[in-house]
Amino acid sequence: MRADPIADRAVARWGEVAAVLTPIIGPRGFAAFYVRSLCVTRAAHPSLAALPQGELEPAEISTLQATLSRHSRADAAPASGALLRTVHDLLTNLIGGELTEHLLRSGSEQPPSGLTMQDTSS
Amino acid sequence: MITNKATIKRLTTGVPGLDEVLGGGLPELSFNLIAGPPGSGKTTLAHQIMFAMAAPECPAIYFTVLGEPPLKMLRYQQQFDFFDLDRLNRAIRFINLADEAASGDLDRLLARIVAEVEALEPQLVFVDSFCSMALYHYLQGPSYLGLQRFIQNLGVMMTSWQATTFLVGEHTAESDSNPIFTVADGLIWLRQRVQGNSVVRRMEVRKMRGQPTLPGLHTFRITGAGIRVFAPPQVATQAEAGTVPPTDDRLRIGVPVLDEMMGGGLPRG
Repeated sequence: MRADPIADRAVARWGEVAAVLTPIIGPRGFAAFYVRSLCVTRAAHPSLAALPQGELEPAEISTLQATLSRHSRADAAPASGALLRTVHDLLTNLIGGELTEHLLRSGSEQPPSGLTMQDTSS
Repeated sequence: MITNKATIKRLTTGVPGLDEVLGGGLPELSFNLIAGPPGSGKTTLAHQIMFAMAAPECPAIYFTVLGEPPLKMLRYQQQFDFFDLDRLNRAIRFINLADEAASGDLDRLLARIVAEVEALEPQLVFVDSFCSMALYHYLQGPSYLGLQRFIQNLGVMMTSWQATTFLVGEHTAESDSNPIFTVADGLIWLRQRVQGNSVVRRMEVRKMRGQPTLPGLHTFRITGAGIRVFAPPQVATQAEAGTVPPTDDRLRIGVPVLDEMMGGGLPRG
């Protein structure tokens, strides 16, 4: 079964994360964060391997949707969840768990851990 | 004859000792520069003032330009007691302008600031680091007039938007002919000097339009609670001094002129 809903949800969640972080760190800062998350996550999740590496234009995050859609739900769901967990962990390392939760929660009604769970449940 | 003067409201900065040095607080709607060398406490001072003043009814925007990466800034500034998570987004917005600043197009930069100020209607605006932006612009293509126009426009815009504004800048040359020194209502200069194994931090309010400040250098410390300025003890005014009953019981010390200056000698006892 293809993973379109998961891909849609992942992109929507990344849109929320982008809406929170981009004003604070700028479009390039956010793109760098996304690329770093990809680098950390793709080794354990080959379904993300096709995503662009290196310097990224902010608009290229939309390629996540197309990439995840090409995979089965069984592959795409954990990859999507792991990617979101990675950005959460990277942020926590930098600015602490409390501020991370505060910022990411303001971009969504659901806490990041809940979203991760939801992403992997479909 | 109409004699009603504009009332300048003075804002409490929340920095212990600073209000005294400023001469009673920070004038509302003033356009200020916090300047000093790297590591002198400029960003900490700006954050401490912002967290003390900002509230949902008094929102603040903190623009980051070409300086310390914003996440690093948040990483370090949250270590201070004044950093209050609950005010983020409710009263304080951090907005990054690195892309606009890196373009070297000051009109684009100003347009983005205008757009954000119009959207959020802040009463407090911080721009950090202002000097890096000016330097970058200068290196990209020297245009003193362009920079001066930008500063002038920014000052006019913030005045019309009725925002108290702080530019944070790494100015080291105090004798610069930087246009910001002319436009700014207030100049708060931070210094630090190494003495033996310690660093002595000092603050000088070099300019504050509309009110007399305490002149000279004032020592300050940065601790986990933030900045604390050690303002000199208030000297009693002549009227207050007059409330102390004069004593006629004087002990002359034998130096005629000095005894005369002391009102007849040292007070006995």
